[in-house]
Amino acid sequence: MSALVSWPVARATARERGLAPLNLVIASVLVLLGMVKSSADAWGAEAFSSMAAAWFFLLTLLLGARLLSEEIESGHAQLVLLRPITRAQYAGGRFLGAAFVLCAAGTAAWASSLVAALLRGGANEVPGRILVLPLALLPALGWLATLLAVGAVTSGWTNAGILVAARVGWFLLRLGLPVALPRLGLGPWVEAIDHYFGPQDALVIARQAQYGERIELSPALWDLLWLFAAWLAAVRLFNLRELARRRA
Amino acid sequence: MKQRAMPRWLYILTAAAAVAWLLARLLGRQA
Repeated sequence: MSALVSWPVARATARERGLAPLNLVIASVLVLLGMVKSSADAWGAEAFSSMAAAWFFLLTLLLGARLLSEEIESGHAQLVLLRPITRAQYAGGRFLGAAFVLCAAGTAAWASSLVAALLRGGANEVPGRILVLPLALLPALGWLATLLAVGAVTSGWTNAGILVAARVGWFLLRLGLPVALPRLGLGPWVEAIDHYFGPQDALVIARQAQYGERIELSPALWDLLWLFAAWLAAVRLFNLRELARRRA
Repeated sequence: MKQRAMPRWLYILTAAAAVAWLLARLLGRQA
């Protein structure tokens, strides 16, 4: 397994990304939102739904933006790679370091909503709330791996820009296409593709468990597949990249 | 050690996730 990740790189990344002031601010906003919004019918997803979901995605974006390019452009990556580690371990270390910060922030926000629930006497909500945490973190990790993969071939903040453009673009296309071309009957097609466009919201599983419905695990497993496939693509692309610095 | 070696575990994990997802889809459709 250590062929996947260099732990010193992961530690350094977690420290760098976790102590960045902006990331700390967003994490604190999430913790506050988790506490303020806490309600019985949110079954633990306070820090990951509606407005908080946008903040959580913003944190994912900030953690994943420039994850590789920053180090390549400063020449730091080239220095670290003089040591006997593979590029795969380096990319894995950068990814897991950022992933650790993301999970820590998500867990803190989740824990604050749990504490708020316990304070208002919602001890019976605890089992459902425990299920929510991994299901909320999984798609976020999928997006982070996507940022890593795009960032393996782009420079600067481009990876975050591409991801935002892709999500906004798809959102507009999904809403606009069926309306713009009603005769083609694109609606069902667009909806079908939407189920495979990036990591899917896995919180539906928590809702299914909560209300005793039949549990459909495939969204969570799709996210897991997306996560590893994006990681694999990231390593592959990073291996192909020319890291020697040329003067423009 | 080759610096650009691909980690075998990454392939294994991706394949395992793919199989698990496909199984869940197939079983979900049957039920």
